[in-house]
Amino acid sequence: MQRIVPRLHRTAWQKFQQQPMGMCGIYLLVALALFVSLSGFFSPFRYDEIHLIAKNHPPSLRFWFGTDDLGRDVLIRTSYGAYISLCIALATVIIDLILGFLIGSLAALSGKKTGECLMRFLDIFYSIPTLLIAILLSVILGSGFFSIVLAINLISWITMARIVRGQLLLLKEMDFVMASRSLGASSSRILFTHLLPNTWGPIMLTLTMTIPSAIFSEAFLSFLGLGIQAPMASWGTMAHEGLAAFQYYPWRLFFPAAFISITMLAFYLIGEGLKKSFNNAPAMNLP
Amino acid sequence: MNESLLNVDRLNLFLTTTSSQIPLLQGVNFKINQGEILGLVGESGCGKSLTAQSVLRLLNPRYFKITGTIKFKGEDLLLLSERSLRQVRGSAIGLMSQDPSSALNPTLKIRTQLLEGFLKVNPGSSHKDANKVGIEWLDRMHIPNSLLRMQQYPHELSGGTKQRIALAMALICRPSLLLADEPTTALDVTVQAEILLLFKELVKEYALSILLITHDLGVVANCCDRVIVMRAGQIVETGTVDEIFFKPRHPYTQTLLQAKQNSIQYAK
Amino acid sequence: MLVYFFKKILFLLSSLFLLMTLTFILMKAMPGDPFSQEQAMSRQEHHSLLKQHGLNLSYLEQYKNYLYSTLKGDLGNSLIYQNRTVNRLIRETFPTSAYLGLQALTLALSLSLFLGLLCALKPDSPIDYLIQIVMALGISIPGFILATILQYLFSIKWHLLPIARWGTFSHTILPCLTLAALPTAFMTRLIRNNLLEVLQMDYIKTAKAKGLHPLVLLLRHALRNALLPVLTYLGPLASVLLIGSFIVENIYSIPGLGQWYVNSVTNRDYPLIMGLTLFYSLLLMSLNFIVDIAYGFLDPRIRIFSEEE
Repeated sequence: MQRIVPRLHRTAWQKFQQQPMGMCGIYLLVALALFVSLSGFFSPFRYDEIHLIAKNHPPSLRFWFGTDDLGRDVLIRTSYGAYISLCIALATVIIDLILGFLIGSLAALSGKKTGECLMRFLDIFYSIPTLLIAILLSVILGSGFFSIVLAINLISWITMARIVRGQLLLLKEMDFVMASRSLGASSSRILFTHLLPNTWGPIMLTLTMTIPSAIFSEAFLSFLGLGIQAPMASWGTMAHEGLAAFQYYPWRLFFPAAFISITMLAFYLIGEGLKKSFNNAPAMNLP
Repeated sequence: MNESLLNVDRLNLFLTTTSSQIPLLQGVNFKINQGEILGLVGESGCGKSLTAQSVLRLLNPRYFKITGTIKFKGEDLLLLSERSLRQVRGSAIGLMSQDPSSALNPTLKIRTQLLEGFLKVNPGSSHKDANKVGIEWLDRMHIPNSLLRMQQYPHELSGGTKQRIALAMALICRPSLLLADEPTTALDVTVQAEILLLFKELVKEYALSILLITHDLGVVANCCDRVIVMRAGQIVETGTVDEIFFKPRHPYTQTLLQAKQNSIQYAK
Repeated sequence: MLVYFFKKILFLLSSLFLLMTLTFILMKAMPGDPFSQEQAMSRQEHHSLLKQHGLNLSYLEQYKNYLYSTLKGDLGNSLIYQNRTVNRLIRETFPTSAYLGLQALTLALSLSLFLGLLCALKPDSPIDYLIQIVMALGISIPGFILATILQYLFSIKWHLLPIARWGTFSHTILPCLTLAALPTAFMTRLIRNNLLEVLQMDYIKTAKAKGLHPLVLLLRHALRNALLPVLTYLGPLASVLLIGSFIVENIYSIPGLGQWYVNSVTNRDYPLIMGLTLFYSLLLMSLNFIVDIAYGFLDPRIRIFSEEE
């Protein structure tokens, strides 16, 4: 039997495509990805390649974004920073989905008491300021990609767990679930056909907030000198180095800063577009 | 004086979108006389509520365009300035909305909401006097424990009580016309009957006229003097209650009545 | 209401306890002890130093001592600045940070209220779009970049304001702007959306039908309902201001507590890091607690419900 009414996802996607803001965000991210891959392929330089004779050169034909104080090409380093940020984004998504989604679902779908207990327990962790813990953990675990990721995401997955739990609890009580159950549907069918598809909206929306938050945390940690260390180039490290030399060699701060801002903006726009297209998502008080 | 209280003539309402104007009400004509209850019946979505809201110009002029004349006591409401319109609202014409749960502000006490209309018209009155008036009205609405109710918040009250309070709010400034938008739809049958009885009492006591909007023909039969039947934004039939129920002329009216008959048959 | 209050207090206390335990574990997880960096000393000297600082006892003993001293209010001594206690540092520098934070908070609240109102009253107008764009920028541009831009424009290029340091009112302007940017952007958006939602509600229609003046409508009916969720945002807002203060104090060389915190992290001054982290966490958690209680007072639905339970 052919579907006359398209699935919700497709309708939502169509609606999303009509949002100028959301699509703008997507285009920005696509452009970013293109930038990373193209510069990776075509750049004659490596991110840690030093050119001592070309220290602190402004943008030129040879070095499109200029060079830093070790003569390294800023463009390829920015690209590498993008790559690192994308990896962090990916790690955040994975951790959020695995830990956040699973535990949130567990808390919602198990018995009332166990769910409540679990959430209360998590809430205690949640109320501890996350960035402070991230700082502490970075200090102890040292720098390096995995420790940073761990530090950033150790507490922040709880946000996803709460949202997932909230949404599932809401859906569980809805009439269409009751109707389905009264028709004899098994629990797993209800779960997969009714509950989970309706959870995607809030999950994606939360991701558009946790990903930029993670990228920002990394930049912040690097800014404090805790994050990714030289010679690796994350946007945060580059901004940190560029800040000191801002007055004389502004391009060193400008490019990583611009890229951070554009990435944050992209996620924000996608989030706004999502909000408008999933207008049956639960009202979240976060802007 | 035989001049009608409210005279709506060739009322048209359009929804303006970016590309077009969608007609919502077309050529709506009706009159309400002093002291009568006029029923406005039709299915959901036919434009009944919009009619009431148009009278008070509550619709956002950015999206809704109104043409025609709405004469209240001889004055065309559509030509009034905002300031003069504010005088009319509440004091001359009152509105009672459909869902009592959402029509009351959840963060304000009943006292505040009930009395603010009164205080607008009588700015000099003391709190004590205003309070007295409020309690009188609550008692008039047959609400027990009126003193307590004044201090409570909407979510502490039942639907029937809330609707009665909404009615008191609409009438506290003694308007001559009440627009009752589906006042009984959200209530159960016993409470419904009480509210309708209240309407009839108030009409007699205060020379009130009521535009009673509903989709329930039972309500109309119970309460109204005359009826207008609306369908898809147009008035299809007008008449007294007897005329409509026993000698319906328009096929749509006949369908409505038939449907009601059928439901009664099924119940038997 | 009482139940609500007690639940929140219990929650606060358990969080604090967990935090203290966590910091203790983390502190002990650091490799070596504070004195292994010192020049070669005899085992006896090393041992007596450890004994002096109570570091030779069992972990359980140390934990108990730690809890006890922390509860008494003693947050320990700095490692690097030998004669400075953490408490003293807090006492000396926190007022500056608090002042800056409060200034930024005031600015953020008033500005976002104004802008949010403006947007909600004229939705989809050019001014609405303009403000939304500016706010989007405020959310996207990280603090340290904004600070640099402001410094460049107002100090270096136009010589209007001092570039850094602290002292007069004009010194507070740039840091305050930088710090208030993100909260303002968030709250403007929040207020705008809430207000728009509230203005669609039935009770606004009812109030309008009563012929109330639009200003009364706005102030008495709309704002009350729209601003309630903003109250719950105040908790996270405090965190944002706090984290922001690290960056701002660093870039503008402001002698506040945040500056010390950043330095302690850079210098790996562990006791200082721990003590300040504990202090900040306590501050944030208390603020969240106060906001929760205030919300319970202000939203009649919660207040009354708890009584009826």
